[in-house]
Amino acid sequence: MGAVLNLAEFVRQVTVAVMSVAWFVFLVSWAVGWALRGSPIPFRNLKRTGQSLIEDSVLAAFWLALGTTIFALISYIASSISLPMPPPPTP
Amino acid sequence: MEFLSLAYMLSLLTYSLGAVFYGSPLPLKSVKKWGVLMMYDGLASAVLVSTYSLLLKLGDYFLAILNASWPNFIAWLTGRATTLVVSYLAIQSIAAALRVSGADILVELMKHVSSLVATSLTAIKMIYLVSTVVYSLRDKILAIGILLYTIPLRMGKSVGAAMIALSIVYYIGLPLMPAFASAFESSPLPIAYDRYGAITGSIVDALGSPIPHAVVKLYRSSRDPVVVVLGDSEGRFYIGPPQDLLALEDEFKAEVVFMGYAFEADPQVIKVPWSGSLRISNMFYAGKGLSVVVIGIVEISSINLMSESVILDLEVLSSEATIGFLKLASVEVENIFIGVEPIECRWNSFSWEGLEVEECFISFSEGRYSIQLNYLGSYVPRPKVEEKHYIDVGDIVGYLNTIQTTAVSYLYSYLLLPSAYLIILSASSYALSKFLGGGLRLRII
Repeated sequence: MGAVLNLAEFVRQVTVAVMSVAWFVFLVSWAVGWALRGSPIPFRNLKRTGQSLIEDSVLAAFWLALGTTIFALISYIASSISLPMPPPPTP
Repeated sequence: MEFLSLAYMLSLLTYSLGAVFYGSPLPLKSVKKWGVLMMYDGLASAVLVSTYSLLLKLGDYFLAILNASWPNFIAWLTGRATTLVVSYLAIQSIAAALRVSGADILVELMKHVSSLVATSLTAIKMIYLVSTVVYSLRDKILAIGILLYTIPLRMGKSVGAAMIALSIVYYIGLPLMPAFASAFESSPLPIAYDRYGAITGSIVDALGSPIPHAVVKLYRSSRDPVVVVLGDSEGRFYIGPPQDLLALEDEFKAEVVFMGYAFEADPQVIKVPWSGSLRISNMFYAGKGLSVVVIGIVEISSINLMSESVILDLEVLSSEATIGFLKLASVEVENIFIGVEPIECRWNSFSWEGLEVEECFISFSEGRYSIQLNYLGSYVPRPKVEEKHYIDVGDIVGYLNTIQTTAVSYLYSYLLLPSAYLIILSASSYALSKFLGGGLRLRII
C-alpha cells in the first residue's frame, strides 16, 4: 500500500505542476485572444475566435480557481450525507 | 483507504487538465469539448470518491429494507448444495449397485441422471463462488472501480463504472435470489436412497454355534431361489447393495443348504431389512467338517462336543427316530459307540458343490441312548457355489423415473432459475454502469 501512497503523492505533485502550467496557459490564451481581437486583419471569424479565446480563458481560470473549493464542497456534502440522520426533534 | 486518496488526486488532476484544455489558446472545438468533459469527469469522480462509504452503507440499508441478508443467503445456498450432494451420492451408490448387479441398461439411465445433478451442482457452486467474491471483496471492487473511473482521459471509465455497478447491484441483488427462486419453484426434496435394505446375519446350528460356508437361499413365489449366497467361515452372510437391490418390506422365504442337505431356517420368512441369526434347529455342527442331523421326535438331554469326539445323550419319544452323521470325505471317523457297544455304520458318499461328503444314518426305536463318536477332523474348504443376486426390477424402474423427474427439477431450480436471475442482475449492472457514464461501448467524446 506504500506504493499506492507514493503514487498518490506523485499524482499530487503532477496536479500542482499542471495547475501552475494552467495559469500560464490561460495568460497566453487571454493575450492571444486579445491580440486576435485587436488585430488589424478585417476577418470576422478571426475576431470571433479571439473573443471566444478570451472568454474561455477567463472561464477556465475562474473554474480552476474555484476547483479546490468545489472539491472541498463535494467532500463536505457527501460526508454529511453519510453521517447518520439526526433524531427527529421532540416538542 | 489508499486507493481512495489516489482516486481523489486523480480526479483533481483530471479536473485541472480539463481546465487547461478548456482555457488553452488552441482554437479547436474538439479540444475545448474534451476540456469540458474532463472537468465534468473530475467532478463526477470526486463525487464517487466522496460517497464511497455512503455507497457501502446504502447496500446494507437496501438489504435491511428488503428484509434480506447475506448469512441467510449463504445458508440457503449451503442447504441447496447439501441437497444436491446427498442426491448425487445416492445416485452414485445406486448406479454402483446396478453396475455390480449387471443391469447395464439402467446404469446408462443413471449416468444421464447423475450428469443432470452434477450440472446443477456445478451451477450452485458457481453461484457460491460469485457470491463469496462479491461478499468478501465488494469494498475492494468498489474502490478499484472508483480508481479506474477517475483515471484521466476516460481510459478506465467503462471498466470502472462496470465494477462500481457490479459491486452495488450484486451486493443487493444476490441475497434476494431465495425470494426470486421461491416465487417460481417449490423447494425440491433430496433423492431418497433408503428405499433399499439389506439382509444380514449369521447361520447357526441348534446350539447357536456358527456353521461355516453354509449356503443361504431366498425364495419368493417360485420354486427357484431368487438369491443364493455363501456364508463365510464364521457363518456370516450379507444380501444387499451393491450386489442385490431388495426393496424395503419385501418378504422372502429362507432356506439353508449345508453339506448337500437343505434345512428349514428359523425364522422361515424374512422381511427386508433384516439382521439376525438363521438357525437350523435339527442339526449340530461338531466342528472340523462333521455335523449331526436329528430326524424324528427326540429329546436331547446333553451334548458334549469335544475337539475330537461327540457325546450325545438323547431320548427318542416317537416310535422311530434317525440320527445322521454328515462328514467331509477327508474326516476320519474312528469308531461309534451306542452305550458302550461299538457299532458299524455304512458311509455313503456323494458330492456337493465340489466337496466330497459322506453320510451315515442310525435308526433308533423309543428309549434312552448315549452315542459317542470319535473322529479326526479336517479343514473345511469353501464349496463352489454359484451365487445368485437379486434386483427388484419392477420397483427400480419406477424409482429411477422418480429420480429422473427430481433431477430435471433440480436442473430447473438450480441451474435455469439462478442463471436467469444472474442475467437480470447483469442487465441491471449494465444499466447502472451506463448511468454512471460507462457502458460496454467505448464512448468517443
